[in-house]
Amino acid sequence: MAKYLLQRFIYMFITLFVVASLTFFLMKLIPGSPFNNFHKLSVVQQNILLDKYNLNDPVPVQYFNYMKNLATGDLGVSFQFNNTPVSELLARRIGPSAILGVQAMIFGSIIGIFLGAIAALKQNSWVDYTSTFLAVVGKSIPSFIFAGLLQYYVAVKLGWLPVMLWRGPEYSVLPTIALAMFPLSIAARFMRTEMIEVLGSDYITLARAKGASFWQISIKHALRNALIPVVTVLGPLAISLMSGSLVIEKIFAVPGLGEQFVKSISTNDYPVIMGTNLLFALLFVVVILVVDILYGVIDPRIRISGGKAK
Amino acid sequence: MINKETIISKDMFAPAHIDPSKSEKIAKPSLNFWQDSWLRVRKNKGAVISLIILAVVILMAFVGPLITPYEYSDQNTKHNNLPPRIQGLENISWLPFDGTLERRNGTEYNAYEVRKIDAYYWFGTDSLGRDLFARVWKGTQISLLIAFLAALIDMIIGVTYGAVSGYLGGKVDSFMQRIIEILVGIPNLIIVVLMIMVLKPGIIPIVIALTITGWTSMARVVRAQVLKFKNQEFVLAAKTLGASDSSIVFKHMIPNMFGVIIINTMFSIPNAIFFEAFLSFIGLGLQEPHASLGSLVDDGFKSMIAFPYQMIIPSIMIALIMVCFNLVADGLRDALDPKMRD
Repeated sequence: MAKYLLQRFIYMFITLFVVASLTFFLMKLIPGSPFNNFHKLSVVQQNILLDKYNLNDPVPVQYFNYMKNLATGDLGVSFQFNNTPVSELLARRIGPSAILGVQAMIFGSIIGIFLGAIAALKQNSWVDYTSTFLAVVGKSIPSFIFAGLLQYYVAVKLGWLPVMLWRGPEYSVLPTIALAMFPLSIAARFMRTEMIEVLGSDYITLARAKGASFWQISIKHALRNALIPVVTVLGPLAISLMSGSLVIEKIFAVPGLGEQFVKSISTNDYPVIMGTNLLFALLFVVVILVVDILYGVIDPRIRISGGKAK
Repeated sequence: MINKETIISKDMFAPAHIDPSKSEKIAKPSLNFWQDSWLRVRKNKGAVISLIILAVVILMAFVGPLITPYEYSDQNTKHNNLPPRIQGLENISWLPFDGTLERRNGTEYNAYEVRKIDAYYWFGTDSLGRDLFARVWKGTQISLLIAFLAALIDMIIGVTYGAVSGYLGGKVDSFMQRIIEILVGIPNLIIVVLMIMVLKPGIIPIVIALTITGWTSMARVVRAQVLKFKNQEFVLAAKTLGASDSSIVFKHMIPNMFGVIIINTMFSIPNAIFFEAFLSFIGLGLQEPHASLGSLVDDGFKSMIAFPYQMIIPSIMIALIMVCFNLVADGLRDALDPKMRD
């Protein structure tokens, strides 16, 4: 286990290193200048500006300094927001994103598991068909389409919930639902397949032969065993929420990381883009690692040995 | 009983006539891979209906911009923000094609009559007076083009990489797999966004950005298949007969994994459509006057409350295409991959 963890940490480090380097060099490749009306300035003025941000140094030196700063958690300063440190800007924004993500994950997985389990228990009934249909629709349709339709019909037309902004719990309802559709449908689908497989296994037949009631079998025996593999898809789903949150936050004007990211793309605020990229990459690798470790903890059949997870 | 004993003599027997041509006769016509797959896909009603809808959508993507009298990029600011109105359907009140709009206080008015415009815009017009019917189909065309191109390139790179990695094995394989592991570890969102920023938005840059990380899943699947086939008899036979490595891989192994390759490609098409729409949505999509479905939805959002049709029509189009592609892909998976059938 220790060897496995060490190996995983090395990979995490390499991945982050690659992302950081890639971000740096691609940013260097982008044509144009980060300063407004740069070409209108005199050469002396240009040099003063470039010196101030150490942009006159040779690229390898800049790269080295950038990496050194990263190691100490310094992500540079924003071009757009009066030289606010990027790390401070991101820290301010992470709250709403985290709330939205966690709510969507909990809502999506619970409803999804419930729907999938019901569908499997009532296989080939209208309940099953409805939930399968919902799962296909939820998986296929991009979350921003859901967001747009929800925003128009529920908030604008019916006026049940606020259209946008972030001023209280009721403001998070629509974005959460829009964001949760994808995890919901994947969990429902996965749960149905697993549950059907479990329901056909010998120990369920045994439980039935021993006279256990329908609910006892479904909840105590089938549901619990079917849940194990479902937990494994939740990690990748949590990651998928990250790209979803970009557009959802933009649509509902939620002051989170995603909204910041989209805004900094349109204003060419490179340090913020780089910082957000790195934060996303870090979250990504950490979630993958946690999920892989959880597999082994939840399901004893998955053994981690010899440095390879089987 | 004893008296009734029958005598079985030899002359009661005659040799049965065995016609080898008849006993080995194959009653049903032999089917090749495609015929067999089609037979199975056909049973899946959802997949067949989706296939028909997709065929119609693809046809309309090319025919649509031609049958409307307006060009997709022509601006006519006098005719801006007109709601959908279709000849014949305008008199059916429950259909949304009667050319009416809703005021903020809830009353309805006919925009064409109020503004004294004698024209029919089937899907309405946008804020610059461009015909949305032409734009939606043109956008569908471009979105599909991007998706097919990206899926094709993913397939070519993925199959080659996976085949080489799996077939050569050893150190080369483990090195190539480490590269994939690192690539998979990077969120594709980041790569795509960065690439578009460097290359500037356009069809080719979007395709390149999508394929940079998109091929890895195909490579993994193909590698696993190659590893499976490597020690099988037909490969050994081909080797014994002196077939070259490349002909073993491309003539003997690849045809045997058409199923998984097709399934993977079918799933990567809706994925590419999604990412293209997503990029348009965060401001990295195609530039005006070009349109893709994503950029149309994005434009529609800006005037959603006053002119909801501008957002709803392209949204429905994306939703329809995505659902259909997913259903077809699911159907193909069930038909082509016997392991995956549930």
